[in-house]
Amino acid sequence: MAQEASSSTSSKTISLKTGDGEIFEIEASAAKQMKTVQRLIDDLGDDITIPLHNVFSKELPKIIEYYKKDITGEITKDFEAEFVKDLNDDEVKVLFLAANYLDANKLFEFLSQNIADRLESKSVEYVRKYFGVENDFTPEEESKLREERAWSFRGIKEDE
Amino acid sequence: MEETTSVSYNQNYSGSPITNIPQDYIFTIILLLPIDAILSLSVTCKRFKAITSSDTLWKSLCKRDLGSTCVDSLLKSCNNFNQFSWMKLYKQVYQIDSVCCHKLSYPHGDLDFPKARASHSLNFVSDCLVLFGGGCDGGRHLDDTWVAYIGNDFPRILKWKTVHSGIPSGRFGHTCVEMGDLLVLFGGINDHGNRQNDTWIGKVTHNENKGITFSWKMLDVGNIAPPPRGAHAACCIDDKRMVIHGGIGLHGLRLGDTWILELSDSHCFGTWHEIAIHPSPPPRSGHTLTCIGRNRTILFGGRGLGYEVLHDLWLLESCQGYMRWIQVLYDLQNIPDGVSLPRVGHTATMVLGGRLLIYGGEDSSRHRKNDFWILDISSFPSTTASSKRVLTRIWKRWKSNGYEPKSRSFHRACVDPSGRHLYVFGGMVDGLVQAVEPSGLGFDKELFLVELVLQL
Repeated sequence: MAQEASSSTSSKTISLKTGDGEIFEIEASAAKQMKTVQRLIDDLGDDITIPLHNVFSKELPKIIEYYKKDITGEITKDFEAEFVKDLNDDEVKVLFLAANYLDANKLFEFLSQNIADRLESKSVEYVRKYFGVENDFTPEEESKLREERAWSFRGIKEDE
Repeated sequence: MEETTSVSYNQNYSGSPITNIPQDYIFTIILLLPIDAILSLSVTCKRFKAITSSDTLWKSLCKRDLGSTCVDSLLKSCNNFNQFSWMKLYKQVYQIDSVCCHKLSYPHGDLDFPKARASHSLNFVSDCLVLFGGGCDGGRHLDDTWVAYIGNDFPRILKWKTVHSGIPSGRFGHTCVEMGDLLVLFGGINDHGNRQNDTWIGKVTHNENKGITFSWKMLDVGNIAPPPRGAHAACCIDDKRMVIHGGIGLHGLRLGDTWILELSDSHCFGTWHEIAIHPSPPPRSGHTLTCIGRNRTILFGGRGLGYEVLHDLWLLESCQGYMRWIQVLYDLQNIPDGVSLPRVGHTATMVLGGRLLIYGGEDSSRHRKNDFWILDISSFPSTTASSKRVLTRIWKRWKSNGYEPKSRSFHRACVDPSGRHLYVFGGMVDGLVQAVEPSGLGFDKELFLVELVLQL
């Protein structure tokens, strides 16, 4: 996926190295949208390959795809729908955490909404699994809590 | 693949990945969730219970779902700050399932109040009730404007003040829509049967010397205006735009067109343009259009071309720069008492908690009604369309306590900024002791209040 090296500074590319050792290229203007990357560029210079310890080769291309579309000013509702269409819940979560780490605000907000959409009408057990949290209530505490909170339950989807 | 990713996770994150995210970011997701999902989240573990119990979070949720104006108004009415909890308030609002009606009276001996009428306009703007026009005994039109100062709390005793008469010209079946601090009046029919299509802007002024006054000014709309009509429906889309639909036009023909008025910044000029989109609601009169927030409007009921009483629901919304009508389908059969839902000459107003309150009107058997139906707007699927919520229980009938108003149609209603107080005036009611007309129908001059009760 080598990009053409350009001599003009406006389309300069930055090299990013994932936690599992792979290198990806991204246009400098797209890299700027991710504040963590920009800070690393400011510290290390833009000729060096920027190391991203907490982002991996599975998700970085997807993130680069999003910001590549963003700098051409073309992110539509259709693009966003298409972007998440084939991603399962875990993949969205991974992207969300990566966007958080990279301080990539636009992607982060979009993914927040997508996670919220996916969690609508799901059961408590599903939400626990999704966030990877352990139930630390006693059975009595939990059933009391469920009763107190029951006033808003409209209808739970079948767990997928 | 997947396994590699999770193995890599364990190498680089200690504990659950979610615990590495700052609380603020979790709030970002929480504020995008519907209430039942937030409460599900609160039952997952102690940490999430603590996060979702934050009173600051619930204040944001109240602002999100009830609106800032409403929240400010509720704060002002609060008597007991020590025991006040935003979460408890939210729950209370959510669980309201009835209204309480109060008859409003005029100062003892006061003879200066609006006479009985129907198909007038009634609005709440700048802390005041404003009433204009309508039809009265003998099929005559009225051209008087009345104002009553209300302020923050509902008064048991109300003082109307007549403003002036003659401008705009007398009419009934016109629409008058609140847009910010202004009222925008359009169309109507006069007692010669002439349909109008003039547009007027009205404004309340609080004057130190003269007290409260109201003035009307005709809006300059240029050459293009919708065909003349009455008994159409109208509401605002945002601060600058108003939409109208249908009504009875020339030669008594029922219309099905949709027009949008856009006001200039100065409010002196306006431009009308027609939206010809398909599908769109079939022709009708005596229906309602209500703004439900986020630039969306809802159309309900009315009387169609075949003189039948309708119950269809249509949503008008903006999608990527253009407007479209979407029919909201529901099964009348599945709703208890659903057979009484089709309505004409009813009122539909947004009240506290994202609900459309539908009151009165005439049903399919030509009976005037006195019931309260709620359409739960918050159950509607959002336009992001990824939500697969099923439209269960979107219609609910609410009980009414307190004063029992007469059944009526072609009355008018408006709500104050708190969303808890609905003012209703006039309309056609069944004749009681003395039949006013052979059919036993009469014009009413009752003003009453419908309250959504909260313990604050």
